Amino acid sequence: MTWALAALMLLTATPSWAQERKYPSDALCKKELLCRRCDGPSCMKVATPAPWPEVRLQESTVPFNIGSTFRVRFPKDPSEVVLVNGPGDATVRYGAQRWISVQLLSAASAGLPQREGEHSSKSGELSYSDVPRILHMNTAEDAEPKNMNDRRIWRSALTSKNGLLANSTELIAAEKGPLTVYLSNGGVANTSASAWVVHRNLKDYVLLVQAKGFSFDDFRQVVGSIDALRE
Amino acid sequence: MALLINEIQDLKAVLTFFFPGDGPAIQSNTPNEETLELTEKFLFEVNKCSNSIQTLIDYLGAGRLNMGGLRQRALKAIADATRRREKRLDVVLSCANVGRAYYRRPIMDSFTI
Repeated sequence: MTWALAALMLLTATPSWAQERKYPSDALCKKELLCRRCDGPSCMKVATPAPWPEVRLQESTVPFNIGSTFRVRFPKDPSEVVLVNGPGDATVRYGAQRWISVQLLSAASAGLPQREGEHSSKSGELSYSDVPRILHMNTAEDAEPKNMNDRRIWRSALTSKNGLLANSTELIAAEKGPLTVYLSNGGVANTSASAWVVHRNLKDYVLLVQAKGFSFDDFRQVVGSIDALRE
Repeated sequence: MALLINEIQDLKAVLTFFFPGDGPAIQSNTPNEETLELTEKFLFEVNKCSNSIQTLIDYLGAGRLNMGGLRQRALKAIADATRRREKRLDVVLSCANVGRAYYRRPIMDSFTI
């Protein structure tokens, strides 16, 4: 009986490599001296708390539900709506060089510890939904978390901060009900702005909204239109 | 200079690895010089996490990751590593998650349809 129980536990347990795989390993960090370092002036940028972006011209917009969690209103008359992998992964085009995209990103697809569901990792406190906060509110001078899972999440956000926010001169953090948004202008690769939207009851998912060819003011209105479809 | 056919195939292999959900779009459209340039910038971002790309390139014996030099040797080496499902790519993929999110749409937008 004991043997059978042990065998069952072995069969049903999460493989040790799934939780223990180092990202990046502490040994590798020590060797390369790069894991903790966010190197450059943008590493010190932090978002300024602000009111939720004001929405104007709401009557001339197209509502778009992203799963059962978010609703966003796009400017009217798009030239094309492209769904890549469902409504959580869409680009709304307004001509060749002007678009807004939404991506519902998951901890699983990012290769980071999950906090919900059957693959949930119990070790650590940070979740994938903390990535936008770390990216926009923490700096290279802040102490890293002690837990390895938490450090994986922390480093995944901070190591890229300098490059990803290099062109950003306005960083804003705002809250509305269960939603928090982190907005920045001047994105990478000719994008004009980006926003990360977090729902406080959704630990393993974040919404990334990007725009190309939109003014920051127009983009803010689109982001301001985002509503939570559930508490 | 326009991409050669083998460079297009290598670039498709690299992008399919980093953006597997876009596999059908990557295979049915054509990357161009802008795609290559954005991929290079993206790999530079990923490299900031633990020097992961350069470590892979060193391991593959494919020189340095220099801006503007991806198509010389490194592109083919990284593409071949993705085709072989090289184990070292696991670290690269985990490191890349925020950069992947930011660069995915601009890279896919650059394809010639």
